[in-house]
Amino acid sequence: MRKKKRTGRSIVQDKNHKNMTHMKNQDEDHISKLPDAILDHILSLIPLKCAVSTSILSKRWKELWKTMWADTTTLDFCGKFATSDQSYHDTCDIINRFVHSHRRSTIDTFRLHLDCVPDIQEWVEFAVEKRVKEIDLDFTKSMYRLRKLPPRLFSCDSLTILKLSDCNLKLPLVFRGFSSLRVVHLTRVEIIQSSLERMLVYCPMLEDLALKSCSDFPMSEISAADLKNIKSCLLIGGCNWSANVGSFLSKLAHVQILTICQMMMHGFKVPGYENAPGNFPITLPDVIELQLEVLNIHSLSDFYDLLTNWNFPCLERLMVKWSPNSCLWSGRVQPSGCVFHCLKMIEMNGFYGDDKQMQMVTFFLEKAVKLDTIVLVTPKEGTEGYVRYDEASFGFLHEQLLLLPKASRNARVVIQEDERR
Amino acid sequence: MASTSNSTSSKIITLRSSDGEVFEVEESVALESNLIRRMMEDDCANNIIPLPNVTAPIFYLVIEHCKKHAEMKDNKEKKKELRSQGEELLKSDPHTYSNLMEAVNYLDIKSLMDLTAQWLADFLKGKSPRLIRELLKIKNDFTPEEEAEILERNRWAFD
Repeated sequence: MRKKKRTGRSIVQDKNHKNMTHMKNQDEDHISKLPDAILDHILSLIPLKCAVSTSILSKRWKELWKTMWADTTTLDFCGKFATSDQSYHDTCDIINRFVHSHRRSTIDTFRLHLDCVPDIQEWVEFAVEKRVKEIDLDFTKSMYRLRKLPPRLFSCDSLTILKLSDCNLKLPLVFRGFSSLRVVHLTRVEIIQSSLERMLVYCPMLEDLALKSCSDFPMSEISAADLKNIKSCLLIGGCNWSANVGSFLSKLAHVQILTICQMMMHGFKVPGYENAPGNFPITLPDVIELQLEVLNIHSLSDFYDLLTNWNFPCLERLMVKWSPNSCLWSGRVQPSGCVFHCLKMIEMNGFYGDDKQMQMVTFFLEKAVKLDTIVLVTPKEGTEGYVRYDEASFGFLHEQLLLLPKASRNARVVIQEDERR
Repeated sequence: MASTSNSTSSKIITLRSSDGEVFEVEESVALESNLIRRMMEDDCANNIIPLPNVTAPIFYLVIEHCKKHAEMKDNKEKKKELRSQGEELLKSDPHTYSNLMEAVNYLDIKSLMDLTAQWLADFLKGKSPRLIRELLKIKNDFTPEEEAEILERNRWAFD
């Protein structure tokens, strides 16, 4: 035994030593020698289709994915699973085969993102029987909508997450609610108002509600007590909404993360409150993150209205996503008394140095007394709204930003290009 | 963290690799390993802890990555960087990868298990079976008939 104490430096030495001894092993297959348990775990991390394709590698790999599959807790039929040249019957066959060979008694996730609308009744029943926790059905890529969800879905006690896209949702007459449901995300879902309201009333644990471009909106029948557990709320697009959104939001007493779009802001005046000016602004005391989507220059006045009529005393993070095409600004006066005591981080996506955007940056630098960072994200090259800055104009923009007066002396202004696709 | 001469006040654990090298490692790092944690609970704390299944070069890699993993907490850039390192390692030295994977499994280090498993998972994703075989030196031991049968049975997985 060598008694040698080493420092971090000797790692380099060791790497050389290692490379020499391993040279002779270069043509050997070491990965296939890993124990089944490890390879099973690895296969469980890749999409089903890719896991199945490893069966062709060698005899060692032929059956590996089957063990992984029979025991998997995530049934994920999406992504490349449904290819366009695959026929409707092929899709059903494949899913049936997998559903029938699954052996575990419980599953966590059943996800179905298809480009066709098959009869999903048997699969949903399978998932409900296996005490599924998350159901995610997405028919965005299909030419058709799913007209009716299997009734069995509505008696799924174990459900904690429900995500639906491009389908119709109608609650059955007898609906006892989802006692453990925490997350509801609906995108382009046709749902009548009364169904949506019953859903909110009968899901007492609901924390996270997202309604994106849905057909209707919960209104008068909902009380603040029904919404007391909601911590995160997203309301984007859709019709019949904006008139009621203010009254709905005013009942979200404990919401922490709020995401709304510009359309919603028109509706931020709450009926009844106008006559009682003493109630202005309406306070949402727990909001720490506010995300505003597709804000254009035109809606800057709506935005200032929002800040005049609503109060977010604990707001720490603000994200603004600008739409690329700006309209005329209606020239509303900025809210004067407004101060942000906790706001630390602001991110503005779609920033291109426009006058009105600069106004908004100026506004926040003046009002946010504890600001750490404001990040201005410029559109990526090749996307809408992209502006090519040469070095001089970029420098000029940067200089202008640096000259702006700041309420928080340490606030940093960062400009970066959008990394997302 | 690998030990340094001007060591800090935190407690130092002494470990011995299968090839007889002795390492001094800060307790907080050593306890990332559930195996070492269990051994210490069984009162080996004052002695040198033997690791009969891990060689010195591999143990260095483990320590190095434990350190990196601790640094990357809440740092998205670092996380991305660390996750992308697997591709290179698997291409250049699959043997070291498999040794590292087995060591991490044996030492029972959850954070590194997740990372190294993700490396191979990312590596397998989006590559054709032919390329995977070539890079990892996996020998195709099927007869052409057997291969055709597998392709036919799960045709959808191979377009």
